[in-house]
Amino acid sequence: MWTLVFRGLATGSIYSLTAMGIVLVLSTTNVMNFAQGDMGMFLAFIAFALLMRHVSYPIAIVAVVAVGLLLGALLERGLMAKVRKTTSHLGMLIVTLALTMILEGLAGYFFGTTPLLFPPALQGDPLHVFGAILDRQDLLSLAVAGVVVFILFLVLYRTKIGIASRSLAEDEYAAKLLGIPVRSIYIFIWATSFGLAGLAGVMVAPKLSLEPGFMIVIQLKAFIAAVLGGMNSVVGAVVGGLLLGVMENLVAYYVPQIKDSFSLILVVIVLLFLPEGLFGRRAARRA
Amino acid sequence: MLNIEDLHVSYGPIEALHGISIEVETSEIVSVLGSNGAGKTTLLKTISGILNPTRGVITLDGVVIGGMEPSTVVRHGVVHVPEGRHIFPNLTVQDNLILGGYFGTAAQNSENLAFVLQTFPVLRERLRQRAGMLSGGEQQMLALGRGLMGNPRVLLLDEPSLGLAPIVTSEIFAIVRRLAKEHGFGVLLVEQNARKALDISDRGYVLVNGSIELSGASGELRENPEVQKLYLGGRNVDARL
Amino acid sequence: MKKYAPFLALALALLIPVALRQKPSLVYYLNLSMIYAISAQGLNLLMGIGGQISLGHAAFMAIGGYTSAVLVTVLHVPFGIALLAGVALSCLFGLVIGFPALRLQGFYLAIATLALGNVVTDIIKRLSITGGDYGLRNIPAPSLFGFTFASSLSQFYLILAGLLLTILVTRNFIRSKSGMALQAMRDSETGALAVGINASHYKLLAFVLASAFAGLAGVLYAHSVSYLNTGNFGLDLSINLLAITIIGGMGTVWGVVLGSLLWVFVRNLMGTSLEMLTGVLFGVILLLVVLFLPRGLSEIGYRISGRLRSNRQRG
Repeated sequence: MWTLVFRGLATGSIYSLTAMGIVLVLSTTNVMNFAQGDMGMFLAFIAFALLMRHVSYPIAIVAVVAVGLLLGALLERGLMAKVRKTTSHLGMLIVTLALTMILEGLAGYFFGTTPLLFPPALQGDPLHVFGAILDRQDLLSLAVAGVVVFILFLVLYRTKIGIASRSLAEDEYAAKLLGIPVRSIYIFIWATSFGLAGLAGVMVAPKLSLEPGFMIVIQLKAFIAAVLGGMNSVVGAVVGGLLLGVMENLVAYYVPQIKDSFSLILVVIVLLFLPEGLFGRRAARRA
Repeated sequence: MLNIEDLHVSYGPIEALHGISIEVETSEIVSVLGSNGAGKTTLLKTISGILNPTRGVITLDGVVIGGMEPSTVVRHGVVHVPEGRHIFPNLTVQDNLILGGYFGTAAQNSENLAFVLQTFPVLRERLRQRAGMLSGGEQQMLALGRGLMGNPRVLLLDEPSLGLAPIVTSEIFAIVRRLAKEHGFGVLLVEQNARKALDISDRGYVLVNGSIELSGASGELRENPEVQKLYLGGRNVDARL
Repeated sequence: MKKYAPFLALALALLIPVALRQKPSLVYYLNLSMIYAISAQGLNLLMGIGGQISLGHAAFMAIGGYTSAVLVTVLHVPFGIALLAGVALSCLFGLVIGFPALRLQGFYLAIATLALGNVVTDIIKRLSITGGDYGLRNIPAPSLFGFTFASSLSQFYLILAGLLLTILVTRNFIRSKSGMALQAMRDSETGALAVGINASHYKLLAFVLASAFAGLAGVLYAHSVSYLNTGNFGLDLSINLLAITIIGGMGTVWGVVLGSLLWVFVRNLMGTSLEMLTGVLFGVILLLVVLFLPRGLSEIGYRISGRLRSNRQRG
């Protein structure tokens, strides 16, 4: 039982990392980003290429997060800032779909479509703690997610740029009047979000197999986690992700017949009957 | 100090302001009266950089600020406290205030914060509460305090009395007047409540359909029969665009 | 002249396979394009007319295709009846799914349709009658009234008939009361509500029609490609159908035809070494269209024909 819960938390931590990125971007810039998972995929491929060239694991992770930050900033500067002026929210969603096509295509072209084995960061036998079996890579995912969540919250609640980001999510007009440099904040948000994508990709790749479509399922689960958490709350995204991971693992063990469809049906039910999720503050139904 | 000359502003093909000239001096409170749709908010939004003028010049101490980004305008010391207050309801009172001093140094901000909390003691008790929990009057004080955090040289106030009880309005207006006189910043006050606005302001302008019809010392305007008929007697001319 | 243009186009279309009879692979690609156009026409109704987004459209193709294929291969039902059953079941799912899903808007509808699409393919994968993970092979070619459409050439005419049918239905729908109401709603939901247009009723109608088109496309796909696998009806295809619709031009009946032709031919003519780059190319085209051509590539066609016409009038 505890083993199941622990594994659920570990998977959930990946959902949380991805969902945080989605929620950060959605709540501040109003873009529903369907490319969050695929950005993680792309960055995981880059990490893989670095590891194959005998770059050490920690450096590969740092490098990939840095590339993520850079790509996020470039995307906002080069594309989203322009798109925002010419199109609707749905148009921006479609732009992110176009991004998934581009990222998956590039990954397939450069790295091929044959599934690759991504080496885990931590090898060795699982640990036994109070009768639960803990996989080392899972422990690492959880620890990384924990640290990231802590840092992110520190930034969002204790620094000017973080508080300004949250204010932008609430009232863009007021933020502009206060002179908050909205464009820089957007860049900060997209960069952070793609940095998170890189971490999620590298943490989960060893558990799945590395191929261009491998993050789609994570993307979907992260959406579900975000919906559970109310879609505009970063806290909600974290809790939603962990909750979903645990629930899924328990369901897969006790009711294996519905394990694939469980979360999908769950999200539809939540959307219909609890549209504000567990942590949402405003109406979730935004066009 | 703040000089607006021959300001024209358009929404697409429709011109909303047709050549407006207004001045605000140090320590001076200037009110702009007008009915709904006369162009008062458009005027403030243009000064603060949300809208761009199609023609005309806005300067602060001779430096052109018209057509600049809002963040540049704020850095020059022109702070806009918008209609409807627009506080951030899910942020704490403290975070709201911190954002008002986005460009300030840490030292400046802590000094300003102390000053704001001294001016509005009620905010001190609620620093850690979500701003959305405050009453209407407290929210207006927060909006004002947030504006003061930006070290304003000119404060643009849009309908601060909106939705407030008369006694709260009087209290807030008294504070604004005292601060302007003591700290030497100018106030450009846009108000529908013409009586109260003329009571605290030094001078006033009457805006009708995007043009200035009348201007003068507040006392003169109060005595003007036309102003009395249109803005003080309760009969409202709805000059929507 | 303008009046006869569609007939002229049709006559030309009818001659295409004859002209290409030495190149059956090209005809096969044309067939595929038309099948995707049929399916995308459904999205066109939903998005272009109704302003709703769906990321589960491919699942309805799967429902239609699998229904018909199972009926024909396992139960030996005649193709004609299997075709109707496939479309009907797809409609039914559209109704069942659309009813709750359309209460959601924008982003949330996108997530819900994405999730529901996955549920559908998951279920198909779990059934044994559908061949599970292995899918269905050797699905017989379509046959109607004793005639079997065995070659790509003959299938061309069957699929063309299907495409023309969906175009006619779409065109009539756009001009019908429901279509008008939906377009009014797309532009301003509150405004439409104010004049008494019942939003959910028309949205549901559009959703069911869209499902029917996808179902029809699925049936035609199953019997002309003769092989089905749930992996082919995932999010990938749904996104590609969306791209086809947007790139071609939403709100016009011919845009999706243009978009599908472009997609199928670019994808298959790029050669295997560059196949992955079609996704990149299409993604970039989609971006450019969203940025610069909100009414899609067919907009260019309209502009050119508009210029020709005005030139002629001037001259």
